[in-house]
Amino acid sequence: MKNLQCIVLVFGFILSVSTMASALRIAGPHSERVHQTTIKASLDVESHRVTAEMNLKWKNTTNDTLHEIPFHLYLNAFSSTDTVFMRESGGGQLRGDKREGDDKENFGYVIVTKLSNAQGKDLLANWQMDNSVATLSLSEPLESGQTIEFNMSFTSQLPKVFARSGHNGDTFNFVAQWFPKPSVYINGKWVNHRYHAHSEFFADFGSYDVTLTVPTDYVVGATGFLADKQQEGDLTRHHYVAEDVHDFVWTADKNFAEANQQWQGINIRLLYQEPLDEKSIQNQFDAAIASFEWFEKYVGAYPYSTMTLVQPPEDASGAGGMEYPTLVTTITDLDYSSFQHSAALVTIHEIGHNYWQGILASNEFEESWMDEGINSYTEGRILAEAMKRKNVAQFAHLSIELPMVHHASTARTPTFDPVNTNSWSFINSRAYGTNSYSKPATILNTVERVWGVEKVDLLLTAYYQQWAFKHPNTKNFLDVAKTIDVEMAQFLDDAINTTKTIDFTVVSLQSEKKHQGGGYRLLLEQQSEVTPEYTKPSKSDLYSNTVTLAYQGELTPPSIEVLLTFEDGSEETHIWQLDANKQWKTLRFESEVKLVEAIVDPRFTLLLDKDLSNNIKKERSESNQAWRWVVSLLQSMHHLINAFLPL
Amino acid sequence: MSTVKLLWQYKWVALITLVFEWLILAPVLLMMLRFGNKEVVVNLAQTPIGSSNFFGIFIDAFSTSPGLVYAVIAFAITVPTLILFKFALAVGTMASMHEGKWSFSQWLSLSGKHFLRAIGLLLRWLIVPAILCGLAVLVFKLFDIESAVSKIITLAVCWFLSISWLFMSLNGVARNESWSLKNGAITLFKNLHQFLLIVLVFLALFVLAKLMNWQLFVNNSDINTTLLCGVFGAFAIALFMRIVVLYWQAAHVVVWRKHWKIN
Repeated sequence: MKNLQCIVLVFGFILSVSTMASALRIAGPHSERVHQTTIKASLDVESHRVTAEMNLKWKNTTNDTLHEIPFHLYLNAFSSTDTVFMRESGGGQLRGDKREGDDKENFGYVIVTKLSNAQGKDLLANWQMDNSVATLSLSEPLESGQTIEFNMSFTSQLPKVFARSGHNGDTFNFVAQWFPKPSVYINGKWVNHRYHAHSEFFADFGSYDVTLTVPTDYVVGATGFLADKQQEGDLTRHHYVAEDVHDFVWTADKNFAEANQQWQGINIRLLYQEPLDEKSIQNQFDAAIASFEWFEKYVGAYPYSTMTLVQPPEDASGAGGMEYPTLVTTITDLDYSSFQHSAALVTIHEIGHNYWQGILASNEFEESWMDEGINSYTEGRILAEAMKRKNVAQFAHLSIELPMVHHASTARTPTFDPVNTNSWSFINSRAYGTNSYSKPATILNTVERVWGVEKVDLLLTAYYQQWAFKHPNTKNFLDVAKTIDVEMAQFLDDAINTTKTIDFTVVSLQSEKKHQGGGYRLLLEQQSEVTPEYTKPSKSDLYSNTVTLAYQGELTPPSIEVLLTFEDGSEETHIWQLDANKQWKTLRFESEVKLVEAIVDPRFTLLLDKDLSNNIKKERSESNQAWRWVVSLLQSMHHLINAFLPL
Repeated sequence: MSTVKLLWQYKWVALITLVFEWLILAPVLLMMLRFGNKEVVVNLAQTPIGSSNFFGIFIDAFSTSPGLVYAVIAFAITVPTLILFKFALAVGTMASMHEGKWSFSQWLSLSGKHFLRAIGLLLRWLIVPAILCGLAVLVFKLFDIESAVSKIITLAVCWFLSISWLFMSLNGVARNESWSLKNGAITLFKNLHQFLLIVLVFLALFVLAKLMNWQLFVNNSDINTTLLCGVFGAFAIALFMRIVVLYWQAAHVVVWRKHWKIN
């Protein structure tokens, strides 16, 4: 399978020799290309308003006859305080960034001002707008295989950014979800959900040909490949082409500085805020290259020729940490750090989205875990394997690996909803976050540790090969898993589609000298006048050990290790074959040396365990290890008091 | 008399103060030990202290048991008691140093005798760090200083200047003199080079204590280190820290006596 992937990659390179100046690194088409979208847009940098004309050719690639085409008008989510997005987000906030106030610059919208068909017939009367969605009723049914063409004029007013799209009130403009975007018709229905506080996006693949007119002193970054750039007086036209992508985003800021690096036919372009030192810039390129290397080795080829990394300014951090096809935003604090790797991690995370959200393109409204969750798993592997940074944070002697961070988040979130839940239907924001990011990552980390990393690699590769550019859903993912390991697939199914949980514990541990039988020896033929023989009870040199193990929940692996440690330091591993009908087991055995400790799952394979702290039990006299960290911790606090108030 | 000589004369103060401190902090220590031994049971081979697995166990234990929270609450309640008690002992120590001889009963008597006046001084002194640190913040604003390092260093200097002022003034309280806050300021600002020396030595010794504490933590994380080493190591470091604090107090007495030409 890997060989086939290499052949495809090499073949792609050969095909794309002539495409050194092309949007695609590996010649397409890769997708159905449902639409061809041509936009000519101008940005008024004073009002942060985009005026545009769009030509849309949309092909009915479904088997059904369609009578309407719904559109997303995402920017209208910011039009007033009454939108679904604003209400669900408590008046306008996302990831800690809030709407700054009630001035009109904090609001935005997109409105279609003209709409006609290819023959120029006005269709505005057929356009029914309902805030962040709109429906275009077709005057004639659109048969399967037919293509329809529209011309639109629209205006997009950018809000002051707090949630992905917008401006910073100064020179920075991030123009995302800015144009009327057709919904996706899949599995016999339109997916035209509103812009919710807890959801991202879903769209069809197509081709974009976009000309952006902005002041000449502004640096522009956009989805796809810059085909042409022409200056006309104070304005410059930037002509971008993108193929086999499902979105088009762009940014313009006159404060952007730029750095570029090539990697195997991909031009990685960093648009950053000055000052930024060389080490931090290189850290970004290293993170991007490590991501591409890892994905090409374990998942599949990156088909595009460009990747633009955008660092928003500090006062526009709401635009940061977001993914779009071939363009991602990083964080405002891009400084390289040797003890925590958040700058690299965000870049790895967003580039990962170019696979799970960009190429696989699952429905993020309804199955957010398929993008965010799988990506949260792969980012940990990229950091550890490709960047050789095993710990996401390292403070002197304290090291924290990403899988354990995801475990902590998963274990601490009550399990009220399955992972596979509509993004707006979770009980609260925390549940959305955990079930979209940390829990799926923990599920995959558990699968990796229980069934082996090779099987996860096979799963990811096969999933990419079968479903790239085809909008897979959870069932498709699980079907691929079944072809690799049925037991593993069942575990994944339970973990993703149900609220089953698991918590292992060592209930008790006893180890004491074995009793030698003693007392009166009564015989059947005992004569009444003879006193029975008496031997004094004693203890032998052997130890009699009893360890009781138990679990609560149903999310069990086939078996689990139990490590038994004896007083002399020797160890024995016992494999507990789990039985759904009996959730506990008592181990009884004898040993020459005293048993002092038992650990269920000593290699921490089952990271879905709700509480790892009850997995270890020590024989009572041995349970005093807390001295080792309590005294240091208390002394540290005491020292700080003494240092700042030397009494 | 040199600071080191005075320090050595009062060496028992360090040990006894340490015992008092540990007695006051004992409830916190016991609660944390109980939480640790019951909830954060670790196997140093599988979950070395500070490792990612230890972190996982610790977070789970913290979330499923209120033991650590109770310990933190106990610490928050204990600390004011600890500070007031140590403040009384500090003024008692300085008063004893001015008298030039030390006995346990005299030291405790002097602590009780000067405690209330010392509290009065403390309340009056509170305005000093407020003004000095406030001025520092004003400078940050006026000169648009962004560097976090510069801010931290400046605030630290202001704080230690304030603390040194307090300790200079405590000499006045310990000697039953009037205008202690004013005389403390005079002594401090006319002996600024001494202040710098005291702070530098104090900080150097403090950093050394921190490194020792860190080394103890590293050793305790090792499966081969015995618990006995951990306990004795902790005691030795805590005693060293007490001596560092005693150095700070003795240095202020020596500077005061030199400034006011007291033999």
